[in-house]
Amino acid sequence: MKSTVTEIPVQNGQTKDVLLEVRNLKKYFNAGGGTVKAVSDVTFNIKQGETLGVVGESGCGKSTMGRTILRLYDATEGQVLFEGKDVHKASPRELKKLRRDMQMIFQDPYASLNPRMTIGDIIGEALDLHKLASGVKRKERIQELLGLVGLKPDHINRFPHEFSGGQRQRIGIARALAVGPKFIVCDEPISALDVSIQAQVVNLLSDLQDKMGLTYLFIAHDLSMVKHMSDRVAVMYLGKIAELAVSEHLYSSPLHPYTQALLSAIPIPDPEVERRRQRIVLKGDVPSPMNPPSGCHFRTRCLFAMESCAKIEPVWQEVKPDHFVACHLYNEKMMGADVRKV
Amino acid sequence: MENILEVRDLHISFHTYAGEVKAVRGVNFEVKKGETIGIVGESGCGKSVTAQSIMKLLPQPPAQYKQGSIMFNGQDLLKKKEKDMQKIRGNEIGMIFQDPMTSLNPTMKIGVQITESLMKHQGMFAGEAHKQAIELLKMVGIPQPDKRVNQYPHEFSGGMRQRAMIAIALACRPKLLIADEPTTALDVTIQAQILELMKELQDKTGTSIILITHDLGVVADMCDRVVVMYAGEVVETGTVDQIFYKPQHPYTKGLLKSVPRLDMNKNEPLEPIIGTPPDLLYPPIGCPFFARCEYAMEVCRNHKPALEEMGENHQAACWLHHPLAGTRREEFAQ
Repeated sequence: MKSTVTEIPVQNGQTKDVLLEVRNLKKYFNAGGGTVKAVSDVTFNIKQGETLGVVGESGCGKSTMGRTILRLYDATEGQVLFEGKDVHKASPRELKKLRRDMQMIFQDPYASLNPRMTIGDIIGEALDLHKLASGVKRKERIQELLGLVGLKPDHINRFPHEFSGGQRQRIGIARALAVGPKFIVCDEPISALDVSIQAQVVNLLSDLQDKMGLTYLFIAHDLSMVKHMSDRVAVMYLGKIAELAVSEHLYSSPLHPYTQALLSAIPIPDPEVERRRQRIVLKGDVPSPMNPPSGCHFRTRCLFAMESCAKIEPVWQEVKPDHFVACHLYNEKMMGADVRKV
Repeated sequence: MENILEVRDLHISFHTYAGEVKAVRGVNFEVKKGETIGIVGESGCGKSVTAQSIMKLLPQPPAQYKQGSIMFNGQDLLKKKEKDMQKIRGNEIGMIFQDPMTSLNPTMKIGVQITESLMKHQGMFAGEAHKQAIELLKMVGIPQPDKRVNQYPHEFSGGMRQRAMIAIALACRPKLLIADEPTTALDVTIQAQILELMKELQDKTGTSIILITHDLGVVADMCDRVVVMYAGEVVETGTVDQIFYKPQHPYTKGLLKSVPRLDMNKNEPLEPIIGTPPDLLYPPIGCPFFARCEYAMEVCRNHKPALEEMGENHQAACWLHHPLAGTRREEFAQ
């Protein structure tokens, strides 16, 4: 069974607001004798100025999805439309132009900055490549960017090893901002940082969004942080999006059994709340993406799995306005006699 | 309740090329029988060093126990010889490490890694120990334990490896279990499984647990009492309710305010703690939190506050609670 894009209304009449459309995107990797279906058929869009959060456990394909959207990986199938233009069909010249609009912030601030380059050159590289500024203007622009992310202009001649993790992540942000992008993929930008530093970086990202009207795809496995950052949240499981909704709705009334389990698994820093909580503890591990279960990918760990879950892949459907879910429990036709509402 | 472990005025330094890093500077805490205490703090605050020092796992040099005592069952572990320590490690004190991928021996079968301590400490014979290993794997919830016992770590998933490590740590029914970030490398759904398992096993065996973590959610879920560490010192200790609802140290308060909560609204901004922790090569003379504290006073710069009683079982090291702090104290209380 295929989930098709055409069934999904493109946010009735709000088409203008959509900055990025992802349609049936697939990314498979060949891995010695098998295919890893890292991203298998995801469809969604991102509106101008919003933050779309993506959560999921490690190996669920969230980072691969982020990278494929930017065409750091070539898609196996499907389309990514940025302002109506297909990123994966763009010529090298067009792609270079697109890169000015789409940028990325990486997870590991220790590995993503070249240790042999000064901060000025790391940030300035993008300016040089796109011929945005040179000479005195280049230096001024770099210093302006450093100021923007809360670093000092005289840091320009220092090397990455002279900075702490939080400061390095700020450098990574400045580098992404150098070309004046509209859209930034933030791939776990805070998971390598300490708790008290995480909040600093998250606040910086929010401030920059307000100031410059940026659109974010915010990938993380910390659900509380994603909730804090995002307007809408997509939950991924084994290469597929299980549920996508406005973040308040997703957290207050999750529909997919996986989302429910995921939310209940997160410890809340409040002893009273923790004592009262009933936890849904999922059994077992995530299956291998080389050989995902038939039908619904989540059925092997799902508390509500029915017979049909093994046979038929659930359809990606809008159950409530702006609330998408892929689960047979919400499919009237599938339910039949076996009605077990979550 | 009697104390199973008492750490008193512990000082640990590391001798490096750059100089002496004073990683732990006068730490005091105790663990009672059957309770779970959490040690929280950011990376580099000395929480892992403290934990490893209890097992005396720090290589000397570069590490050096400068001062203090670690009393376990009435005996000072710091005065014990290596040979005597080996009788305690894995037998009376068990440890679970952060990274299950690297802390199991990849060339040994899981079963052998469990039977190792049973045979050494309990004097079991191989056949008996093997049976016990299967029992232990069953206890930590590994399916098909009789088959799994003969497999190697690479055949286990991350969560399963952590379960195996718990089985190893609990093999000899230790009186104290030290869990150093046991779930940090795991996904949330697996984390929930492991925490659930640890609680269950504690109910069954009555072990005391020292849980080291930076995740305040895990602390709220698991612990009876909490020790908050900052820059190698204990800045506050108390019951989990006291720490979460009546924090008396600005650092504890800041830590609680800087993490987002699932039940919080999106528009409530996070309040980060500005700056970064001090460099322990040159630890500050006064309060270690002085440079980042929004309530800092002149006295904090050069005078170190002592841990003072704030209430029953509740201690904090902060000048704000001194009578002379005046209005600052009221500001903080809000």
